[in-house]
Amino acid sequence: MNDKTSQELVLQVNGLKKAWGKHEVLRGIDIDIHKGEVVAIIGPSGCGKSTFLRCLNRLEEPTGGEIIFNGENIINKKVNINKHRQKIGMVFQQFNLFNNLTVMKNLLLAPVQLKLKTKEEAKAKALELLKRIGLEEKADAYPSTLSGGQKQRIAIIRALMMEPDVMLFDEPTSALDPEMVGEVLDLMKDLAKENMTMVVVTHEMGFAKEVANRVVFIDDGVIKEQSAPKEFFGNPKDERLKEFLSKVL
Amino acid sequence: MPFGEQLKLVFEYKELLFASLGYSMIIAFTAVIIGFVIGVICAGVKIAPKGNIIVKIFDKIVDLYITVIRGTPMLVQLFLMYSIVLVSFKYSDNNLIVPIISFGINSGAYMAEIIRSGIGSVDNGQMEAGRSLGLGWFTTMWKVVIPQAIKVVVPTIFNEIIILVKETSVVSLIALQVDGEQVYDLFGIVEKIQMLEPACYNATLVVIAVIYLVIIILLTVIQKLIERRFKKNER
Repeated sequence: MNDKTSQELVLQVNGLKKAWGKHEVLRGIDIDIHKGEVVAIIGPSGCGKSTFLRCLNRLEEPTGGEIIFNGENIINKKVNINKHRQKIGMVFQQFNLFNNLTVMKNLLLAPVQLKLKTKEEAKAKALELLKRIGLEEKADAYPSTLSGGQKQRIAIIRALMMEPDVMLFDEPTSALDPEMVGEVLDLMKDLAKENMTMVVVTHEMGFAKEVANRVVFIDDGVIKEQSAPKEFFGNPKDERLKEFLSKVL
Repeated sequence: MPFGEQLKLVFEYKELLFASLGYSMIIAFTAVIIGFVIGVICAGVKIAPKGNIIVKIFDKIVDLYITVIRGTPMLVQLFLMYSIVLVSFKYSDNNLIVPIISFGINSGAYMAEIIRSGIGSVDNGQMEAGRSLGLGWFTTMWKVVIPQAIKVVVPTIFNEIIILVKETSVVSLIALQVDGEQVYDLFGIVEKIQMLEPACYNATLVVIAVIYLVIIILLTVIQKLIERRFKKNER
């Protein structure tokens, strides 16, 4: 799958640091993410992989380093982070659909509120996306009536409504019942095929193996190893990674 | 005097009773509105991102306000207002403003806590989802978080309103003036009628109790209607 990734950089992360008081969660992360690339991030719990992902759109404020997105260092307090977030989609472990809004209104809120689309355009796009995931009859339903798998697929298309340049997935299948993991992963695979740039924090080694172009192992706040999945799983070099893989595979 | 006859006599004063009901309700509901406005502003300060020094200063002021108001009895606050803070109204022809402001300020502290905790009860993921789509803090608050908080807050707000309506009965301890004439609140009128008809004290008390009860039942009905309206939004 490597052939489809271009040399064009979408995200460039240099020396990214995050500390809570004296506790350093991220101790300098460097990574380039190219257009169309699917990067899977794995690591033991508490290693900082979710924090890393949440720093990329500044849901967590990094305490050092830089993140270059669309030619701007978005860590700079002076940048309009809201503007950049429109182009950085995010999918959460707990779905986080807006509970007070119907599915359709969940999809329309941001693009219409931010005047990126007229209501009619947004509605047409939303219906098209709902059709794609086979949930068009749920347009007027409230999130509380949906299954976990349905919620997460709608959360994904809610992010797609913004036509993002990159999508961040924070353990998107970890809160799902096992029988619903497949439908969410299938949708993510489709996005990967369509050349969506994706950064996925995951425990799904199968997904990392099959879909990712690159797998990154974060441990102790730094990237310990990164390589193509075949090399990563077939011939791991870092001791901690070997130990980790022996536990999860 | 038999109770039935006492009642009959009390009803002869129905105009006085209605007038006192009116004053009690004016004090209670104006105070509710003031309290709600104060509560919204204070809750807004408490939940606002503590980015700059001005917000931090206001945050401390709100903390102090809530601590003082919740830490002292309503009756003491009313008398402090009447005798010290708003003393210029003490002998004025119109001093209804004193209890209105006192109860409003008192209620504001409780409303602030109710509203703040209601907003706090909405999962932070809702705000994060809004922000991750590029929506601003305020827009997400307004479109997503507050509508969910309202549902949580309605029963507690009504609880506060109900307590306030009944607590206004302590204004009977100060002399209320409207256009230079002494007027009475719903509880104060008991004493007034007792002066005019010493034999009807018991019946007056019962009548007043029933009037309070009816008002509270009406409030409860309104509460249920509002709650049902928000439930419909669920599924």
